[in-house]
Amino acid sequence: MPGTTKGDPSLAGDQRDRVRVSPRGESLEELIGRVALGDRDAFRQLYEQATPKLLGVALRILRDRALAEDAVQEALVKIWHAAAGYRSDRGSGMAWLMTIQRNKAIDMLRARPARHAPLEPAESLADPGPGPAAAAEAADERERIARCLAELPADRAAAVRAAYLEGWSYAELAHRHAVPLNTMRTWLRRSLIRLRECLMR
Amino acid sequence: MSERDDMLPPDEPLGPDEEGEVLAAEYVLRLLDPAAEAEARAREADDPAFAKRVARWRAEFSALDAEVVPVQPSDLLRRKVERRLFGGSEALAGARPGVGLWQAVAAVFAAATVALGLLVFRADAPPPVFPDRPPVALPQTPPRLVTTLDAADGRAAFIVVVDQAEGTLQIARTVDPPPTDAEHQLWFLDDSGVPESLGLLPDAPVFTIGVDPDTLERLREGVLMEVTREPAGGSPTGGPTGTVIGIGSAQPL
Repeated sequence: MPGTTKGDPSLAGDQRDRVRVSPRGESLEELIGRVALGDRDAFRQLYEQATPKLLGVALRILRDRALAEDAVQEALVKIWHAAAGYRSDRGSGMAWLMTIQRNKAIDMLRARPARHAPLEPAESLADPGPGPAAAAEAADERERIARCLAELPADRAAAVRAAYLEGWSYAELAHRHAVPLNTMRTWLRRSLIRLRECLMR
Repeated sequence: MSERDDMLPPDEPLGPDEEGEVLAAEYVLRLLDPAAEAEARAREADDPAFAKRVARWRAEFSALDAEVVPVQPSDLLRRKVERRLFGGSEALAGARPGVGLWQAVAAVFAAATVALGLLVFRADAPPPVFPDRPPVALPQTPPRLVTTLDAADGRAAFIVVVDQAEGTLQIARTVDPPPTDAEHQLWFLDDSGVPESLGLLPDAPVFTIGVDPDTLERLREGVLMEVTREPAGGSPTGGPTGTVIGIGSAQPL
């Protein structure tokens, strides 16, 4: 029985093959669980592991370094208090942290006066493609949603991406694409149906 | 882009199933106006089918998180978070009205110095350990062990902290509680070779259970722990009989 130190199979039989023996696995899921127990050291490790990524998404949405750091601070405070609400069977620890971060950043964005984004032609919305580092991280799941987004007309796919990654509202998307709000809403809703059909295949 | 409209389905009303699906996606993307968003949030809490759609969209879209480029935060952020969660704010609260500005500043500075140690003076200091103040839930008294009980998918299902000083197990549950006709039961296995029950687990996400001193003595590094699903009232045989929900070995914390 590689990886375990005990030979007796009476506890869970073959399940024991899965027992983690590396000291301190320190996965984000474990850290979140320990944070739920009030463990500050676990929180510090979570900070080290996750904060750069959280700041990345906050910066992408808020486009302002100081604001983005404020949003990360708010998210980390929420993570400390809400860690007991994490369910590892519904998604990875990082996905949970990123959801909290994204929502905090969007809350801050919407609490402010309209963002001073210059009106750009729709062409500039085309996805420039992930950088080399991001591309290296690409997983099967990402390939699946990327493939399904690619089945949409490029500008619709760009709108869905901008909504998720940059936190754009219908009004902003309509403004950028220079179409009426209702048109944008119809486009996007139909695109989401198409996306769902593709993801279910 | 009008010439490409024919690539999309005709603009007909959505069926109820599609409507729910689109609403869930709009909710996840934060496209709804505040009133509709509040409605969707309430529905997520009350309507399991809708909550499932929401969870599925979240999982699908979270794959795009890989495109987010990590950015190193300033060291100021760490200090702000540290102070806000673990200390320093008391000093501000303690600065009563009427105390002169310099006294208030001095009080805050003194508290920050205590809380942050040399960091205040050494901006290039290594990352600080969060200040060693009395923690919210856990006494920082060694020896302590932590066991991460992994589920079949490798993710943590339970985190069990063995606190020898307190004689307790502090447990965080990161999986759903069992249905009403079942229990989650915690076991340990040491060199005796016979799994022994540590008790039935409550449904709460975080809880503490007591352990008798003789058992506590046996919970040492390397001891195996697991949670199994058992019938209501616990295992009928006195040993684990059901599906393993999570399993792991105790490690020093």
